Amino acid sequence: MINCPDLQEDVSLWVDGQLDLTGAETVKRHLECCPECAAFHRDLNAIGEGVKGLEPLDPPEHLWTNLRTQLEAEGLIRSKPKESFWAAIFPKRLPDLKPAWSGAILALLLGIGSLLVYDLTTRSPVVPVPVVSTSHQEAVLEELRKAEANYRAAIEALSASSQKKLESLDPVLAQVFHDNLATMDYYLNECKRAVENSPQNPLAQRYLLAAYQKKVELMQTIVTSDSLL
Amino acid sequence: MTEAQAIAGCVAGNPQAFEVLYNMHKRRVYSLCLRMVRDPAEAEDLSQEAFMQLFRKIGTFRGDSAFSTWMHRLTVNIILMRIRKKGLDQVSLDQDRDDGQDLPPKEYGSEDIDLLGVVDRITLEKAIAALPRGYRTVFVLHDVEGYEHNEIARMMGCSVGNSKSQLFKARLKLRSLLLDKKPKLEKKQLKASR
Repeated sequence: MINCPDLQEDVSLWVDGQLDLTGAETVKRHLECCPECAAFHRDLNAIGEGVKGLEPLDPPEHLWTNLRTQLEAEGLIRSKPKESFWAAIFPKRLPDLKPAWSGAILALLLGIGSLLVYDLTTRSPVVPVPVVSTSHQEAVLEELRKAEANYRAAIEALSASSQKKLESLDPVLAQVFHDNLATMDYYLNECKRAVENSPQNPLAQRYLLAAYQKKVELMQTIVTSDSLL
Repeated sequence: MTEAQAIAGCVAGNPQAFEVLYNMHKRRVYSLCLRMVRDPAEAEDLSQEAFMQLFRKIGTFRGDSAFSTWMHRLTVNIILMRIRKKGLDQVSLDQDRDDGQDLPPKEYGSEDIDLLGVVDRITLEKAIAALPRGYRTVFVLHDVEGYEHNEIARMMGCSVGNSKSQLFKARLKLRSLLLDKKPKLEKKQLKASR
């Protein structure tokens, strides 16, 4: 006489292919006449199918950060080497963005270099400093302030839409833009400092405006980034 | 970067290689930990420990088995060690001490309600999580992760027979849990139609 609970263990083994031929035949015959064990068999198959549909689960984002910290603490990995300036701004994945922005940044770099040279030469007693009337200087500074105000207004107007765009972009591309914006901000601040240090320096003024212009252009590029890629 | 390149990079201490390898295996490792221990914080801790062990030992990986198999086995060992160390509410596999408390009542001639349409992913995850730890361990290792009974027996230090027996009980319990989750109304309708 077949005892159902005992046979159900055999059904479980049969599902896994763990029964010999005789045992398998016994189970098959029993399932044909026992609705309860047949239901049990169907359920095991349903569970098996369900298990196949289980998906791997995502760990929390901070797990890698914690892991990396521990790896560094144990000396298993070297601290991330500081990326080269160009690599930081222009990752290899986006070669099509390189030429225009490298040109812009190069121009700013040359400008800053020139500023330093200019600053040094204007401080040198052997080089005569051009004499410019005070009223003219004030007029130039006023124009500079107006231009700065215009650029700041443009940046503010673009900031919401560029931010929204960044959130919708592929994270890798968004990161590139974030990095570029950070670089632009850095140079913008450098230019501002140069102007603060020598307000009358025409090169400093020119490169400050150039930095503003490049930032606005970058933000416009972000807003229209769909058409770029 | 391929897996082989990432492994070589890890041996050389390349940070990017570690991240690549982590991203390749993080989901499987974390899922295994979470399904085995249920608690997300503990699963996170175990995952971190598993990856740390992996990165410490990666220089000893000889490629005799697939890297994922090696890593998986290492993770299972860490989880089992943690369970043993903590002496959590595991069901011993060395003794068949189940007194039937965890199992559904053995009924004869009960109505034939099957699980058709009940076993969706979320319900199943919850039911697996509700299994007693010993049952859950064997069920996850065998049915979810695909280990054979002889491997489970070796890892858990029990007999193959015990592993089979625990799996059967785990499945019975799981079925019972899933049937409990079946909406009562549906059960009534099922009764009425028979």
